[in-house]
Parts: sequence; C-alpha cells; structure tokens
Amino acid sequence: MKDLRIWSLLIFIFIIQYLLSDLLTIRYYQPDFIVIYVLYFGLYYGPYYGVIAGFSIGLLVDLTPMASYFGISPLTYSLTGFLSGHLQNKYNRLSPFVFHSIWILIIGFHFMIFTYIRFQLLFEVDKLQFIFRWFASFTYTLFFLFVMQFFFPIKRIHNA
Amino acid sequence: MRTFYLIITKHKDIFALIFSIILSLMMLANGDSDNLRLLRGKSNSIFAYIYSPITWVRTKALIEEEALLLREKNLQLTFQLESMRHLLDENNRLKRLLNFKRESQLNLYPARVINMGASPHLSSSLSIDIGSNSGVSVNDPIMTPNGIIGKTIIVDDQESIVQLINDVTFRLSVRINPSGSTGILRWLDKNMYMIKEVQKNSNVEVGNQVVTSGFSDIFPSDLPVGEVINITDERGRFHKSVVVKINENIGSIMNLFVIVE
Repeated sequence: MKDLRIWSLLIFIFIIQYLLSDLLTIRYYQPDFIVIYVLYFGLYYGPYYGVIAGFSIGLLVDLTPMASYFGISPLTYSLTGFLSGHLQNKYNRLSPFVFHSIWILIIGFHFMIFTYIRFQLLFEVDKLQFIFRWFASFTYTLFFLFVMQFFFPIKRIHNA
Repeated sequence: MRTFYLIITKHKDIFALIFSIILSLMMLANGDSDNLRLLRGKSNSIFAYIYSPITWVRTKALIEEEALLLREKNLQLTFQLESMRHLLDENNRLKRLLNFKRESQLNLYPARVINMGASPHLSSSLSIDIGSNSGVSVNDPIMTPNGIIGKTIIVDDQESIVQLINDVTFRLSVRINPSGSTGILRWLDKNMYMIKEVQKNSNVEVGNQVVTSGFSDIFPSDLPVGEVINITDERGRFHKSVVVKINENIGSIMNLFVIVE
C-alpha cells in the first residue's frame, strides 16, 4: 500500500512536471517538481534508495521531449537523492537552521551542476549571466519548496 | 572476497552513486549515438501521444487567440484600406484640379472647403480657406472642373463665404448650346435646376450643354454649368421651362477654384 502511494505520487509529480511546467514557465525558467520529489524520497528512504530513485527518475525525465542532454538528469537527481538521503534522521541531531540550510544547499548544488552542464558555453563566455540563470532556476523551484513546507514540512518526515 | 562484499554492502549507497555517476557520464558522452537517438525518438512518440490532449487544448486556445488577433488585424487593414481609397480619390481629384488650372485661361485660385453651410442667411453656402489676402473679392465666381458652383458673398482676410448654386436666391444667366437660347438658371430640387425664360421657338433638346451666357458682370461667358435633362412646353405660356442637371455634386465638394479678375 505504501509502495503504491509512492509510485502514484511519482506518476502524479511526473505528470505535473511534464504537463504544467510549460504553463509555469517564466522566460526560460521552469520549476523542477521532480527534484522536490527526489529530495523527499531521499530523506524518507535514505541515500541508497535515494540514488536509485534519482537515477531511475532522471532516466525517465531524459526520455521525455523536455530533456536537453541525455544523462544530465540521472546524474543530478542521483546526487540529490544521495545527499538528501544522508540527511535522514538528522533533524533531531542538527539544529533546525543547519538542517534546513543543508537541504537548501543540496537543491542549490543540484541546479549548479544542471546549469553548468546545460550552459557550459555561457559559463565560459559570461559568468554573471550563468550565475543569474542558476540562481533564477534555483530560487524558482525553492519558492515551490517553501510553499510545500506549509503542507508537507520536511521536518515531519518521520525519518528526518 | 568476503571483506570486499562486506565493504560493498556497508557502503552500498556510495557504490550506487559512483555507478550512477559513471553511467550518467557515459550517457552524456554518447548522447549523439544512433541507439540513444532511436530510444529518444521512440519515447518522444509515446510522450507525444500522452501529451496529445494537452496539445489539442493548447492548439484550440492558440487558434482562438490567433483568430482574435486576425480579427483585430482585419479591422486595422480595413481602416487602412478605406484610408488609402480616400487618399486615392483625393489624389485623383487634386490631379484633375491641377490639370484644369493648367489648361484654363482664367485667373484661378485654388481653395479648400473648410466648412459647409457657413452662412445663416443662405440656404446653401460654404466657407473656403482663402480671402482678400489672396486677392479674392466679393462676387468672384467659384467653380470646379465640372462647372460653376457659386460666388463669393462675404470676404475676410483669410477666408470667404460662398453662396452656392443651389441656394434658393442664387440666379445665373446661362446659354444653352448649340441653340444659343439664354435664360436665368435657379435651383429646383436636389441637383436639378430650372431655366424658365427660354423662348418657345428656340430649338432646345435634351442633352444640350448649358454654359454661362456672359451677360452677367460676375460670371465670364462659356463656363460649363450643366446639361439639359427635360424640357416643358406648356400651352398658354410664353416660355419653355428647361430642367438642367449640373455636373458637380455640391454636397461633396472639397476643393474648388476662385476666378479672380
């Protein structure tokens, strides 16, 4: 039953990402709902399953028409799944500020790698523009993550 | 071997990560390979099928938006077309006036109509944009290439008021060619005018041209006025009544000439 919920949630997130991201696009920045899912998944199931889930979901994302480089999503999502998995059971051990800062940094790191691979030339030519793109896509997704904290706070994940 | 197995089991997350990174980098490196292209092509067609309802909705929305834009564009183009037609008409009219002025032996001053029905004392009048500063004086004839249409009655420095030929008090001494019969032309109705004082024995026919007679101190002779469209010869009267249609549409005059001495 639990597995069914996880899978149905994944399908739901995937549909949301695939169908609604166009509507939520601001200039060329889209929110990444899948990285939110991978973050929660890693926190819930730990780094090993976080890597596997991140890799599998990333592979699926790269097969959709919205993907750019094939392989970029498995790489970034598996890293995010791994890093967020290492935050499992850490909420009570770390101070809330450190805990929340770490998952924000994980998301930032995810977008840093993603933006770097996708806009390598921009990184070489105009670093300021590159940083702006990274920051814009990162904060846009972070905005949705902050909104989610009102409904599904990360600290409530029982393993966190 | 067992130790190696234990290490892998203990750090399976790290090994999984390394494995996934290697696989991802390999995929990134071989992104242009034929097999991957084929795979992505197949998956794209599947996703396109799943996405088709959304595409349909979006296409419909886009079509509606496009139709709205096209309607707006159509309206704009219609206005533009009307404006261009108007400009073409004006251009033709001005060209005609220019040719007329060039060919005419009279001393003509071009003028533009600035107001219709300018005088409260006249049933039909208009204002023009030239006055005494341009040499215009009272009782100067006003004409278009189609013929006489009136005379100036009030002249200011910059503008003048013209009594039109269809004013009820306007009279014009005319000659009917080729018979040479003369009479006084006055407005009858709409664009029809009447000459009452034509002698009974004169040979006037429908289609004869009516020109100014030259008997008047105001209008030079042989300026076109109109064309005979009807002749009434009543028994017991000493004169024929000739109905004339003038060539100019008085209501739509925009440019005209003042004949200055």
